Amino acid sequence: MESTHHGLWVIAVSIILGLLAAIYPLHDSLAWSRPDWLLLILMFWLLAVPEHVGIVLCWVCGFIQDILLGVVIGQNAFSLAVIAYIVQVSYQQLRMFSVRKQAALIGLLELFRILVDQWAQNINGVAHTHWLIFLPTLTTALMWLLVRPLLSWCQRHLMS
Amino acid sequence: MFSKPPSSGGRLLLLGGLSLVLILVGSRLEVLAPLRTQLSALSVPFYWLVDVPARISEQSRGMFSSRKELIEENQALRAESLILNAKLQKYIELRAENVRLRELMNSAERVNDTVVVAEVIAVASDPNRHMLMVDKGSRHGAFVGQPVIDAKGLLGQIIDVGLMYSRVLMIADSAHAIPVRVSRNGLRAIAEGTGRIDELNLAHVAATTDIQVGDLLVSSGLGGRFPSGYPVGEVTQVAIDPGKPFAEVRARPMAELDRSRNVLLVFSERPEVE
Repeated sequence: MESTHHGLWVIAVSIILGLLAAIYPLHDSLAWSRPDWLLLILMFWLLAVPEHVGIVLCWVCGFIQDILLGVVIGQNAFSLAVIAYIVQVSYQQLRMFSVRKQAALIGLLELFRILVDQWAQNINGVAHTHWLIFLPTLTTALMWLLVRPLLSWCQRHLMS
Repeated sequence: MFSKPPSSGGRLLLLGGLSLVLILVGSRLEVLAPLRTQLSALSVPFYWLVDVPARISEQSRGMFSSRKELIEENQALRAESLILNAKLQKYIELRAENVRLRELMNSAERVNDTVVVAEVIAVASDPNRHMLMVDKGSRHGAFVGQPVIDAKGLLGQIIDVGLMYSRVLMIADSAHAIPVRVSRNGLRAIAEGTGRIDELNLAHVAATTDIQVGDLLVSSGLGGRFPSGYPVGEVTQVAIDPGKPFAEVRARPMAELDRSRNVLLVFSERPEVE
């Protein structure tokens, strides 16, 4: 049993880095295309170690993200909890997907997250939005091609 | 290893339902306000960490800036201070005159607003929203609804106060609106944020109204949240379509919303309207 809990700090550190990347100031031209690092990192751990990362942890991470960003409390918590559920009931099939297919799926999940964000902000008074808000769908999907090998390297070398 | 964790559906129903309730009523319930203040303390270490690279680069620039640059900057500042002092002499005279005239007219004397300088430590990472984090909180007397200005004009208001940090909603955010008047003729209007950092929209301006490109908009003080007389924006576009009941009036914020590193929190003497 000792070995299963060994290296959980890697998960914690990666999640904290993901939260920091979500608030790190970017230049205006890059800000629209900021990938959803938290979703990418949580997706990896949901698929890799479903016995450690589940709905509750994802909800807590989303809740912290809501507080950090100063947005409507609950919007990221809600979308991450739903995504965690979807992955948890089907991770055995999703693991078998090719990397590209996984990336496409993550783009779709990111779209879901953006739509939830927009809905939550609209009913709380934000009226106008720009169509560029959908750009992270693309960048998040592309970043999966980078994040997956990186985190699986971490998992192999730091967690065993 | 391959067994599913128990009752993930139940957890989703519980947590998903909780977050939906929070989205729908979280910002409207006054009961939750102190809780939000407590929770926002959680973000302090994150913003401190994120600000580290900016602080390092600023410090190293300070260390390595040459003597010549410093002398030049010093001279420029001296010149600016001289000009401002010269302007101030006139201002003191005008102020005394203004008070005398107001006394003659039996109207109340305007109180002087005091300000506290705050440093911007972060901007909202969502480019669709226009919010700032500043390094003054309830410990320094900041409160929700407090007006924030910069050297050029009105910047926004505080919407969230922590112990050491507060969050400022800027006038260009699409969730923000401010009562203004045209300084040329006293016409009242509401300036709404459009979500674009360089644009405000004047709502419900009748098509026959006297408003021109170049007019200065100042805060009117109506609504009791902002003190009156601070510059808000300059009218940049007036489009009158005979088919529509209202003119489409756009303005550019006077405050440098995308540039300010230091902002001023305004403490007015007038009673706050809740």
